Amino acid sequence: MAKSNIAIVAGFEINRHLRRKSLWIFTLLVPIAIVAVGVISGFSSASADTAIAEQQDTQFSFEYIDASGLIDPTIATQLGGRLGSDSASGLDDVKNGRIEAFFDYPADPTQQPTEVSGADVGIIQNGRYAAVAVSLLRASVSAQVADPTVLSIIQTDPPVNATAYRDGQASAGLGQVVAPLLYIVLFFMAIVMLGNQMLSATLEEKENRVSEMILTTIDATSLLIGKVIGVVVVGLAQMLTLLVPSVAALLYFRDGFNLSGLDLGQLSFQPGPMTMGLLLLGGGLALYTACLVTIGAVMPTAQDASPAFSVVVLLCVMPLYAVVWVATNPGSGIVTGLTLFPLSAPITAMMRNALGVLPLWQGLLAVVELYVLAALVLALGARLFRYGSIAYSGRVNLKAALGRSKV
Amino acid sequence: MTGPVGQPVVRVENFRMVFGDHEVIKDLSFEVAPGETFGFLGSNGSGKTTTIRALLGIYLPTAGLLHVDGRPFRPSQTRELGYLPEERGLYKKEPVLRTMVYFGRLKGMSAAAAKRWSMDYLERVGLPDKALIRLDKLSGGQQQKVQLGVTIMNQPRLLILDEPTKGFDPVNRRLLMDLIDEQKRAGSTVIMVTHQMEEVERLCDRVILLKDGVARAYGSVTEVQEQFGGVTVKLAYQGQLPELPGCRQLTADQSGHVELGLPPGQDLAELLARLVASGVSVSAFTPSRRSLDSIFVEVYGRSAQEED
Repeated sequence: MAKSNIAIVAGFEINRHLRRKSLWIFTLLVPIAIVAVGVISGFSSASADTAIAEQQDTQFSFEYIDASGLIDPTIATQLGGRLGSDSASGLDDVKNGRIEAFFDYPADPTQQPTEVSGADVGIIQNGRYAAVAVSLLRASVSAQVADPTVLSIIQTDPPVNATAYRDGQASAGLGQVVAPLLYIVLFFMAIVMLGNQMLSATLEEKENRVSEMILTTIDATSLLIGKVIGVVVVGLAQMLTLLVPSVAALLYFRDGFNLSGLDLGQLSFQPGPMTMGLLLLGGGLALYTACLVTIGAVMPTAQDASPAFSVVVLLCVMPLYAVVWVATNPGSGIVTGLTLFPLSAPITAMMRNALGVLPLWQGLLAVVELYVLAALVLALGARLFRYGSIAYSGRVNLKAALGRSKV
Repeated sequence: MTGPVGQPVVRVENFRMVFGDHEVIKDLSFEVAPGETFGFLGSNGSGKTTTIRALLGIYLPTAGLLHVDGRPFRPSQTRELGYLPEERGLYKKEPVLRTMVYFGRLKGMSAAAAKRWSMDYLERVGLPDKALIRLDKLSGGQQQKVQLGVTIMNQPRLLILDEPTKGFDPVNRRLLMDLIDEQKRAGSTVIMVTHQMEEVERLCDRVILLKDGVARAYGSVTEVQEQFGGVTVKLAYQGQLPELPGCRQLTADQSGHVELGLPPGQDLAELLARLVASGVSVSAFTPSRRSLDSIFVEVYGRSAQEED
């Protein structure tokens, strides 16, 4: 009966969640928000590039003095400059408005700063003075290089083909990192999309005063398992709703998106990292879910549960802020600590696993720790829900719920 | 329930319940026999709901034995239990019919049977057009009807109703009582937690009266009435009542009405003769069994009655 009750609960949860308009509005708002952020970011970036280019091309009158001897007077004249007399008078002319800007190039511009002074034309536009000063220096130096190959190497990154070997085999490089990294994307999406639903799974009974009816009808563990299954299935439906059209669009319009360089054939699905990543993803989701369900079991309302919910989410995504540290110092104590601390373990370990810098023992330890802790926390949540869920208006008394044995 | 013949459906022995420093139930024992309607009486805060919650495993008892059908209650026994809690609520954003079918399936009914039963029930209680409406769009009384339907939809052998008439208007209260009566006639064991004494006198075979966590009275309605004075006389009179040895004044008002509790063996004719002989003008002399209401008032005092 317990198994069939789990299925009934899961079916009920799936059915009612999938029928909610708000769920689909939220689901569709996520990609819209991502696209909007991308468009704004791209527009902003393009705008910044344009602004910098425009500043470099801006024509304004300036004087300069050159202790380095590197500045080409012809180029300086083309940019609107003329040679000045000395630093002090140049600065005075700027202050008095006689000239728009004054550049003081030192003897060694690589070691000493070039002093740039100009009339204040606004915090953004003021950047044009430094831009033109640097542009003039670079153009003057480049003009002294006769060989176009040398010039090209100086001005651009020459192409390189790099191959790394492990155990005598050529590494797939970025291709082997991308696939296991997708587990982090899935984990992050689960946190964003399922968090509130997981939390409300146990709060709902309290908020609707259903606890007594439901707890005399089905045991708490079956109820919670059914709810978790239901919410996970709903989450998968949401993810598929986002992923399937996204991937289809990506593949169909790859030329239009200027992604012709994307070669899916280079993706490497190595069994070891993929299996470890899958285990970490499952364990991470299990622990995350168990924590939220337990918070819901203890708190009387969603509002009361919010701070604890935020702490759990923050601890889960914390390693994303340390991604550079994890990549560059994978063997450090801090990274090892993040790998073994339960809530930060999933993302840290998945990241290190993808980068090929996760020792097997640490990976296995993290996996075992995640699953065992998830089971313990879920059992705790079930007990708290069982004996504390009719604390409708206040937090569950943990001592009362845990301290007594059943007669 | 399906226990051995003669075994009580509910058995509570030496039950104690302590919340923090407050001992809500001190030492409570009682049994409920198969097929009987049992009244669980007491004022607010007397421990009635606490006892039911402990009986159904919602609270962990501090001490004592609480058995349903010979063992501590487990949700797996839900197929034969109908429980209407004091704190009521269903999934408010779900339609009526889907909610009822959900609970029906959890209670072991097939989806089709649960749907069929639910539609019949909604028809009976005047809500057939609400089947597809969200619960929070219904009035409080309509929600109560749905909740009662969920409680009895599996034809439970044990029906526990905690303040069943709470939130019902007089018309719907009658409907509710009819439904309970039907369950009783179908052989269900019914436990009613209430402080509505008229309902108890009309429906219950036996009662327990709780105050401050201990039973102040326990037995059949008649036994409890006997325990608290048995026969009473309601008098309408004019004049000064004489000293009446052994008689207790249970209720009285300013307009010459009084209810007297009589001592065991009191001769009614002799009492009336004494009243008349003392010069009291008696316009009504109505002997009756003592009402549970007056027993309740005696146990709890006026304040409890006013509180209700």
